[in-house]
Amino acid sequence: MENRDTLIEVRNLKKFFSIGDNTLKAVNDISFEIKRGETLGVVGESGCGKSTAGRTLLRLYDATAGDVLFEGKSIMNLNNHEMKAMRRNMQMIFQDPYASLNPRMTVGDIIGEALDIHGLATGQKRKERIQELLSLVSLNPEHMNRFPHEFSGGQRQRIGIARALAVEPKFIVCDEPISALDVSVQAQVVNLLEQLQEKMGLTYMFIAHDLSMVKYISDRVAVMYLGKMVELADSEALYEKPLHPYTQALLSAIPIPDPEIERNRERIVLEGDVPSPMNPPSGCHFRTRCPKAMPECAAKEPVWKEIEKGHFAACHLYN
Amino acid sequence: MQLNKEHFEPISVDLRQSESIKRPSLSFWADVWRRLKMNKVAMVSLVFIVVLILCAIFVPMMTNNDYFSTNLAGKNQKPSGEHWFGTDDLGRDMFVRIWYGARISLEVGIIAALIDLIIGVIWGGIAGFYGGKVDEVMMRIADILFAIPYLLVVILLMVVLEPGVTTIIIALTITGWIGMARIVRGQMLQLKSQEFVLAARSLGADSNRLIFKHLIPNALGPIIVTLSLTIPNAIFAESFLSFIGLGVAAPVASWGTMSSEGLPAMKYFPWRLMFPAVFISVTILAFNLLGDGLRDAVDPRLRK
Repeated sequence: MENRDTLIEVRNLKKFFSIGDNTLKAVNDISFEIKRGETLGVVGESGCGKSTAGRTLLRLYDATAGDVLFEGKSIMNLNNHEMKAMRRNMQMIFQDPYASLNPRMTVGDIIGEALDIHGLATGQKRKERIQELLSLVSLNPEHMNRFPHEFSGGQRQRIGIARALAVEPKFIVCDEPISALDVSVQAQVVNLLEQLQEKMGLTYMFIAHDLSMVKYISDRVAVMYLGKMVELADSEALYEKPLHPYTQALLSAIPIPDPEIERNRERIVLEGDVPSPMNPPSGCHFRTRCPKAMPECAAKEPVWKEIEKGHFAACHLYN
Repeated sequence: MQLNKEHFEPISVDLRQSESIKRPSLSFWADVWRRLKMNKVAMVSLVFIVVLILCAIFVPMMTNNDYFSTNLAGKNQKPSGEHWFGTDDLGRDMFVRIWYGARISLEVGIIAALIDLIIGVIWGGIAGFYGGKVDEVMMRIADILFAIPYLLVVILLMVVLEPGVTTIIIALTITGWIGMARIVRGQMLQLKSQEFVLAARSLGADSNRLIFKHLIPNALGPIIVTLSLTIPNAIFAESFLSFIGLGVAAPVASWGTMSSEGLPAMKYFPWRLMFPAVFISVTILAFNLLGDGLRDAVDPRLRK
């Protein structure tokens, strides 16, 4: 992993939404890199800004501040024409397989739309390409004239994957692609994503809240809390030795498939709810629920820094 | 019997084979049509409307009588073999006049509804798609127009323009499109945040493609239902305006003017009022029932 080049670089990305007179800081100053061919898992509670981060990264939302570099080139200042070309490199797989496919279009047209937009194939070639993509995600190519409602959740998610692959992207943001699926189908979809990654050299940003699934698929994992990134490390290192108290609490929530250990181990149970992102606590956002909070935590924001090699965290415990 | 490893062999499962779909493929609109066919009331209404339209087109062409020739010797005749619906106070054949009236009513209803459709979809579509300030300004303009009393608009228009079909259509559409615009705006607001729209945007789709390939096709159900309920309203409005003397001018026949002329003679020659009145009522009823049926067929969850 060390010597791979950087595909995506995110610098101080911010995305604020104004709601009435308030500002919702959905993504508040996050920076990270994604290396070519790796999978970066992003975990956090609902509403912590993971999906917003993924969408802002692809410029589906206009960023409030910050920059995103794809292969060293900033995508934030591209004009419409350049951005359209850039979209061939970066794609997205969505969370809800029922809402992410247009119910009035056939599967062939849904997948073919990418080909039409970028003028990649027409006529017979378009048909062949669509069938090829359907086979790639293990769907029957004859189903291209069917409508989305005729498919199951897992099949629909694979249609969504085929659509994203149609433009031959290098980078795919997977926005909780399995959280709406049955457990039995989750494995199918995750395995498909892994196979495709191997076959096509894809790079993933895998957003999820299922920690064990993230551990399984990710090379590195980032943890987000209230719009901030609190910890980022290699998957192994993060699960072996979590530094941030929030990460420790999250990890202790993973059930262990051994009744003996499961019964006797002690969990870190966080108290209270996530504070409103409209009005986050001063200093460290996590301090209101942190079991190790110190006076310092309220006074100033912790700095995002590399504590061990490749292991980043933002916490006053490590100053 | 002892089972060993050798007794097992892996069978490969081909996902492609295990997931064949048996049900015939039906597009959304084929499904709507299937559900509509099961609704007897709506189908009877549909047949009635089709027959009405065909008669309105062909009956005046095929008959020997016309709608304007007077025959004072044969005025106020009862329905008979020669004059199926009788004659009016100037001896004009009521049967032909009813179908001429149907032409006017349907023409007004359909043209007014289509104009409402075009303005409403464009206005509501732009407001809903762009949202924010654009939406705010456009919908406030619509609200202001909506607040002007409609009869006042009609009477003012009648003063400025000549009474006639065109004037009635202008009067009906000047505020009529607002209902459609509101429906379309609501649909746009709801649809544009859906993930499939986001997916199309992430593929690089431009606004045109988003609007015409993704948003409008998904809003088409409610649009058609609104359209089918606009038509009877327009027909009723035309009849009403003609009835109170603000509609088409003599000698042109419209169901409203015929009712108006038939009213004083109600006691002695009831058919002169009865025929136009029945046609107005049944036609409006049929359009409304068809509209209800369409609404249920487009969105079966709405059915109680």
